[in-house]
This record gives sequence, structure tokens and C-alpha cells, in this order.
Amino acid sequence: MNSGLFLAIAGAAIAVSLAGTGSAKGIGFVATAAAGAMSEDPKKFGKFILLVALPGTQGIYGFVMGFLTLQKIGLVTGQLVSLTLWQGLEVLFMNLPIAIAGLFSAIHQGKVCAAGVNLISKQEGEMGKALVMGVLVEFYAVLGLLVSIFIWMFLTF
Amino acid sequence: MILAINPTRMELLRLKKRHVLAIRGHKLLKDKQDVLVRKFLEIIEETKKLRIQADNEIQSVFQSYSIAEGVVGGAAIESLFAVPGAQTEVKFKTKTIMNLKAPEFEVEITGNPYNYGDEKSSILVDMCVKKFGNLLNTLLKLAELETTSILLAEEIEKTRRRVNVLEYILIPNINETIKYITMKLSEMERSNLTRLKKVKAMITSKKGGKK
Amino acid sequence: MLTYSPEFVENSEYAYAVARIRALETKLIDGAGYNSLITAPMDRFHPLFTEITGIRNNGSPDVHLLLKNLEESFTGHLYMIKSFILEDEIKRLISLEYDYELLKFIIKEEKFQNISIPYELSSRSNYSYPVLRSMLDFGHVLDTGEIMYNAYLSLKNTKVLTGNIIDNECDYSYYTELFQILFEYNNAFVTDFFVRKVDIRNIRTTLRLKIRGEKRTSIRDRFLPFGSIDIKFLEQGFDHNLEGFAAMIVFSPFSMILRNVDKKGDEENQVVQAEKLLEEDLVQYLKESIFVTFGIEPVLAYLWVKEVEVKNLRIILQAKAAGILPEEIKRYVRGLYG
Repeated sequence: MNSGLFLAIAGAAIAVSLAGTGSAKGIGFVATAAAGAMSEDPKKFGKFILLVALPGTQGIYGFVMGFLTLQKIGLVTGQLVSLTLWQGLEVLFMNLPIAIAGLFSAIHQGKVCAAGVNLISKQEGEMGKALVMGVLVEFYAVLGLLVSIFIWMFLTF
Repeated sequence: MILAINPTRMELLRLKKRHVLAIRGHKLLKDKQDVLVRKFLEIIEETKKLRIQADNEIQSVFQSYSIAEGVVGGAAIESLFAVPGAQTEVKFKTKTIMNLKAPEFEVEITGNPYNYGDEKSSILVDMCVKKFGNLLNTLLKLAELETTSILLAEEIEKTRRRVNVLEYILIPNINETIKYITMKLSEMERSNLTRLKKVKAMITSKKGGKK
Repeated sequence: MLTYSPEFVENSEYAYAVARIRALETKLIDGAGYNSLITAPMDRFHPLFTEITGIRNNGSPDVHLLLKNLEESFTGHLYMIKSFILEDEIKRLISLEYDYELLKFIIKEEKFQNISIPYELSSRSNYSYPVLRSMLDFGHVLDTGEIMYNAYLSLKNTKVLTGNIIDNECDYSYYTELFQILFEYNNAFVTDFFVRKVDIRNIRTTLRLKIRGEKRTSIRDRFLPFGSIDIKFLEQGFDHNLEGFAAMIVFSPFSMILRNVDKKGDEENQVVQAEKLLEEDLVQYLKESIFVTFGIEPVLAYLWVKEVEVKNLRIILQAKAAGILPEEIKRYVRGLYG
């Protein structure tokens, strides 16, 4: 195995693990908030579940990007491509947008969604607004994913 | 009824004096009774007013305490009033109405009745304490008036009995006795005169017989 | 003020607590609830009370049972709030008030006569009554804290004691310890709440002393130096009427409130109204905690608002039992929240 391949695999690992960490943390916030609100009114579960799931998307994006990377370097099919050090670095940087954007956007989205839970438990009708605010944070994780995918598309060995 | 006395001129004189005295006493007692009744009616009127006032005050004190307890809280109000701050002393005096000894109460509050902290208490507690102080005065005044009216009622009863005794028993009796004695005396005088005339006639006839 | 605080969305440990508080806040009794309670006829009052507050009286018409249950429900809330709070010093802080109430009882009991200690104080305090009593007796300074123990000692050694001295000395020690905790904890919202509370207390005390007809110098004995209003302004305002008093403290937000007092009634009723309005302002201040998403502020604000709610229910219960007219009751019920 050469050093280029090593960097490429590290990139996939970083994408999945950072985005996943962010998602886990974000969901953690919302879920505790939702649990607190539901302990007073369990009937609101249906309204909360969307908000709880929202920060989970970053983890999925990270996973998708990691999978695409592994496929690009041929790890999935078993036919490893040989990469130079520079090519390996390219693959690593390809993963960074979704990894970093995913990590931070998921945490902040968790907080926004937790605030949304507070909003819904006070005013039941305002679920749409709470969701919109959560989705606005999601937008930037999507941008990160888009750039990562653009790089993936135009990167050829 | 004729009084049990000897029908003598002495007694008659004494009875006549008594009669004058009885009539004067009757008049005086009658006047006293009138004044007492007037006074009694006044006091009754005043008592009635004061009683209504006391009823209202008790209700208002109770309500003000309820509100204060609501605002301050049961535990806190117990703590605030746990230490008594003011000592009350009731002084007892008597005053005379128509020769009657009526009680007079005077309450003296020493010390600070607002003997509690400022943090937990409220202006409502102050108002409540003040109302309780006023209520004490009202209740003592009421007690004073009610006792006076009872004493007055007894006195009126007594006076009326005396007036009645004088009017319907003593004075008629004296009148009757005077009449009786006068009659008896004039009777005696007449019989004495007759006797004297008889004696004179007898003496004259004896003298004439001798001649 | 809160929105400038850098931690206002960072302290996410309170996510559960705040979400639960927000759900609980919807259950606080609103103006319509109070109104229907106040105007309810006496025969339907008890079922309605149970329906609105969830406090049962098990079919007995005894008001005191309801009051007891009401206090117990508040004790339950206090425990719940304590379980939400992560910082030990704040846990101590919210029970500190009851500790010092207990201390007042202990001293009064020692100096005067046997006084029954209300159960709820013992249960809401950091220590229960027998524990605190034995700790003070045996001088466990570390457990009770130095300030409380010193207050106990100084009061115990004072020869001539009146209820006034005991209460005010305990209050002074309470605020000393409270502000010491707040200084270490350094939370602007909570500190400002207590500063306002002390200010209101000082204003109230000054107004009440005037009504009682006491001398101006008596302010100095009762003044608590933890507020934002200096004693000299209160002393200057002492001789004026309410309007003049408000003009003396024009720099503080309470001046405006005192000006809003209806000037028609006699002086006593003006102060009653001022007291109510000042307390309502405190509730209004607690409303600001709505800007905090994660943090201790909404949790504490809920507790203090709940305290006002319990006070309101207590007023309504007592007033209804005493047969006070609805219009009169409304003069005493404190402002509403949320």
C-alpha cells in the first residue's frame, strides 16, 4: 500500500466520523429536549420526531461521501487503484467540506431543533416554523456535500 | 289600709309630715325614673350602633387577616406573629350616672405592635394589625355600654317599684290613716262634748233640787 | 441583556430541563383561569379549583386541607426544579430562603415559647428542622455555613430580643449569603433578579414605615444594602407622598411603576397597589428568560413564577372562604405570566 491510498482512506474515515459525531451530538440535544417536553405531554411525540431526526442527515451525508470515496479508490470492488501522494491528498481534501460542515452544522442544528422543541411545547401550532429554521442550518451541510460531490465527479485518476 | 298606729294628735302631726315627705319623694323618684329611661334609651341606641359597627369590624378584620395570610403565606405569617410585640393593659374605672356606678374601660397598648421583619411581611399585615388594635377599642367600648345598660335597666326596675309603692300603697295608706285619725279625733271630741254637757246638766239639776 | 451573554445557547446541558419547563409553563394558570376562580359561586368553587389547579381536597370542604395540598404541590415543584439544576450552589440557593425561615423559628422557639414549626418549611429547607437545630446547637460551622452560624450566635447572645430584630437580622444574613453565592456563580440574570427583589423590599419598607408613622431614622435599621437604590434617596423621599417618592428614585425603573399607582384611594390603598405592581414587575422581569434556550434562567424563572401562582391561589382560596367580593379579590391577585 502506498501513502496516497493511505491518505484517501483517511479522508473517507474523517468524512464519516466527523459528520457522524456531529449528528450524534445534535440528535442528543434534540432528543433530551424532546424527552423533557414529552414527560409533560407524551402526545406530542409525532411532532417532535421530525425535529429529532433532522440533525441525523449530516451523518448520512458523511456516510455517502465516505462510500463514494471508497468506491473511487476501488476498495469496494477489491481492485485498488494506485495513487501518488498528491492524488491521495486530493481525495482527502475532497472529503473535508462535508466532514467539517457536517460536524458543525449538525451540532448547531441540534441546538436550533431543541429550541424548536421548546417552541412547539409552548405553542403547538408553530411546528412548521420550527422545522424551517432547522432546515436553514441543514442547507449549509447540503452545500458541503455538493462541493464534495462536485470534486468527486471531476476527479479522475 | 290603715296603718297600725295609735290615733292620737301626735301621730296625726307626724303622719301629715310623712305625707308631705312621701309626695315629695314620689315626685323626685318619678323624675329620676324619667331621666333614667331617657338615658337608657340613649345608651341602647348607642349600643345598637356600636354593635353593628363591631360586627362590621370583626368581619373586616377577619377578611383582612385572610388576605394577609394569602399574600404572605401560612408558614410565614405564623413566624411573623410568633413573637408578641405589644402588651395591652385594660384599666378599670367607674363613673356615676344618676347615682349609679357604671364601669369605664381604658385600654393602653404599650410596645410596638408591628413586631416583625419587613422581608416576608406586607402592608396588608400592617393594616391587619392596625385593624385588630381598633377592634379591641371598639369591643371594650361595647362591653362598657352593654354593662352600663344592664345596670341602668336594673336601676330603672328598682326605681319604678319604689314609685309604685309610694304611689299606690304608701300615700293612699297615709291618706286613709290621716282621715281615720281625724275622724277618730273629732269623734272623741264630740263624745267628750256630749259628756261634758251631760255632766253639766246633771250638776244643774242637782243644784236645782237642793234649792 | 441576556442576548449579549455568550453562553446563552452554549450551555446545552439544560436542554431537557428547559424543554420540560416550557411544557410546564403552558400549564400555569392564565388570566381566564384566575377570573373564573374569582367569580365562581361558592357552591361550584371547590370542584372548579380542583379542575383548574389539579389540587384535590378529597371531597372535604375544608379550606385548610386545600391550602396544605397547595403548599405540598409547591414543595414537589421545588424538588423537581432542584433535580433539574446541575450546580450545587444554585441548589443550595433556592432552598436558602427556607433555611433562614427555619432559623427564625429556631431562635423564636428558644427565646419565647413552644412554636409549632410548619411542616413545609422543614421539607423545603436544605436541612430539616431537627438537623439544623442540632447542627446549630453543636456548632457544626462547616455544615451550616459561617454566616448562618454567626447570625445564630449573635442572636442567641442578645439579651433583649424582639421579633423585628430576629427577622431583620436573619434577612440580612440571608441576603449576605445569597449575594456571596451569586457573586461566585456570576450569572447576570439571577443576580439582577435578587437585586431587584432587594430594591423592591427597600421601597416597600420605606413606604410602610411612612404609613405606620415612624421616624425617618428607622429606615436605617431596616435598610438592606444589597440593592441598586441608595439609602439616601429613600430618606429624601420619605417625607413626600407617593408621587414625590417616585420622583426621588427617578433613575430606577420602579419610579415609573410607582407613578402608575392609582392616586384616588387613601394612602394605605395606594401602597397596597404599589406593592402589587412592584411584584408584577418582578414577574415581568422573569419573562425575559424566554430568550434563553439552554440555561438555568428559565428553570429558576419558572420556580419563582410558580411561587407567585401559589400565592395567587392562596389569596383566592382565603378570600373566597372569608366571603370577600370578586372585585375586591382582584385588587390583590398578582400579575400573570406568559
